Amino acid sequence: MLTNLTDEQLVDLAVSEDSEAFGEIVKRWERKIFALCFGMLGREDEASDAAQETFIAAYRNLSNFRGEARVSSWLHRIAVNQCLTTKRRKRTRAEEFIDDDDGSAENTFVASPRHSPAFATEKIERLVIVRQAVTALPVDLRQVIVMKEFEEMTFQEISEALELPLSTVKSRLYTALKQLRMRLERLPLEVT
Amino acid sequence: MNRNNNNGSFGCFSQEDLVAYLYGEIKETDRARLDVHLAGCRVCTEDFAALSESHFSIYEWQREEFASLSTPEITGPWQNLSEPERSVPTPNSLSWLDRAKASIAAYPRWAFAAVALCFLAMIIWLGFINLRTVSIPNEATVYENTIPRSTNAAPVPNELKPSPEVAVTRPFAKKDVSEPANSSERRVVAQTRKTSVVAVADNARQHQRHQGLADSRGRRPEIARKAPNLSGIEEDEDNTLRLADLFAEVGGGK
Repeated sequence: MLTNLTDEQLVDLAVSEDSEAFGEIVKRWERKIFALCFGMLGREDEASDAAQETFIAAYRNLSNFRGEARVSSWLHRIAVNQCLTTKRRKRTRAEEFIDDDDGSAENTFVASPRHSPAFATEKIERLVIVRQAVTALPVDLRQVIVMKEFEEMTFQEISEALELPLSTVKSRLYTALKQLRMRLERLPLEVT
Repeated sequence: MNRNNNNGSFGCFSQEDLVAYLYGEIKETDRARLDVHLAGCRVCTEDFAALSESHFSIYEWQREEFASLSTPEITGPWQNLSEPERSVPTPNSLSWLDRAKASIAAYPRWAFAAVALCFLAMIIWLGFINLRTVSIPNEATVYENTIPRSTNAAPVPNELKPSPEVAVTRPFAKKDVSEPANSSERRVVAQTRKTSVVAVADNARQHQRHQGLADSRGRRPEIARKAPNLSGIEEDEDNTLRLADLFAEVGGGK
């Protein structure tokens, strides 16, 4: 029954104290919001907390939801703000990821017989560099690239979620990829 | 569609077209044209290679560190309200009848014992009330029990009805009694009155027993019969006899 409704209809039901409708919204968007938070923050635990806080904040502000806006736009805006708050609060720095890494990724790569330790180490370093480069991008560029790569949204969906013209979305993504390319060329020297 | 790119070379595709081509969101006709263009444009090829490298780096990061992650369980206040037990009434919202039914269903033996105890207490109470009524009679009650109340009572048989001459010889019907002149006559009259009153009393008792059995209100005739005599005088010794004698003596004194 609820699965046939649009996001906006579900929010209308949720505003009228139908908690199951909001549960359906959570079920639809929890993976994408978690992916957005992961791409913005770069850590699973922080992304999980940010996603949790995003939906709680959305639930508490249901009455403030503007009917003319799209639910995807509303949720993404809350999620991005939540990620920025988390990052500012914890003052997470790119170098801390290396120091605080629990080593689960290393163990996975080392345990694989198809990869040598040198290859695994190089791959891990490359992933860390990419993570640092993405998290160092400006928020508007990082948001577009994360929505495209992690949430796997189409340009049209990103355009609707961010309430931006389609050409602006493409242009921002082009700029983000170009800046990421430049950072990836520079960061290995900084890390080493 | 075809315009100058950032380098100003003619016929190159725009940045948006390159991004759309990279992510496969370009029209099929534009895709074919861009395939041909990239094969011959070194600037666009280098630009596209830079975009592809960044895209692959992020894709690799996403695949290695994010794709295997399970979605965290999002919990919030909306779940507490949508629990199935929300519709289950709380014990405070149950009526006393529902709670009694639930208690009986949960403890049938205790419920049976409670009912049996209540029944026993009720029997004891009724017996106590009955015994109290019998042991401490009220004269008014005794009197009420001796006379039929119901208008639907059975008619009195003719043999139990007092004779007309007996009926008029009531000791209290003083003005209807002609007093004899001398003392011997007064004794005879007194003896006659005594006999008549005894006959009336016997008839009344028989009628009372008969009527008590036929009382439509179900009143127990045994209560009246078994009522103790508070005056300590035998039933045969009716007070009316003394009154008659007193009247006779008073009449004789005159």
